[in-house]
Amino acid sequence: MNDFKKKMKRRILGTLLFIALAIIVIMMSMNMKDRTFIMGVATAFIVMNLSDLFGYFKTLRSEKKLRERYITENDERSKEIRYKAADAVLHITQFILAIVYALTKSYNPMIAYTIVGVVIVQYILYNLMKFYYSKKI
Amino acid sequence: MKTKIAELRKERGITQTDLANAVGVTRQTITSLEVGKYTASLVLAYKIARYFDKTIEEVFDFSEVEVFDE
Repeated sequence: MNDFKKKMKRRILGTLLFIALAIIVIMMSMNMKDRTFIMGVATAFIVMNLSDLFGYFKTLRSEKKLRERYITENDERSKEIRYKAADAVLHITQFILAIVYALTKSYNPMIAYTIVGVVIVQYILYNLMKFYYSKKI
Repeated sequence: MKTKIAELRKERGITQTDLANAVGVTRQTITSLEVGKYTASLVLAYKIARYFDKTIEEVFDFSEVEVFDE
């Protein structure tokens, strides 16, 4: 459980770093013309991360909660469910993109090219990840 | 895969939550194992067998597992 405790502490540091970056982004965008969108996204990001941070501190305060979180995050069946869901989402997304490509290629080539780009990036990333995990596992 | 988890658990008066907490999984995982919807990893099978003081083969039924002989 000590390793998990350390992992939680690392997550707290990471989250604090992200919050600090978001604050910097807000400060930098103060003088920009289209600042409302950037500030909105950064603020939402800060709120989400603060909520995570609150959860991490709450978990670290009690051994029982720490164990419960460890079990929830490391349960092997839940992990398998997540892997299967992610795999299904990838294939469904590719199918949807293929349909959108077929529908848009004749009247809006720009969208079609963008979709081709997305599919290529997705394919490269998928194979890179596959290669990485084939060496790791 | 069939298992004797439910049987062993009832014999000893242990709830699914107790077993789940002892072996570090969720209660839903124990339910899935008991009804045969999910097959445990080797590590989880070992932890469950050890919890009941049995061997893996005594808890998990491997009779339906296909083995390819040469």
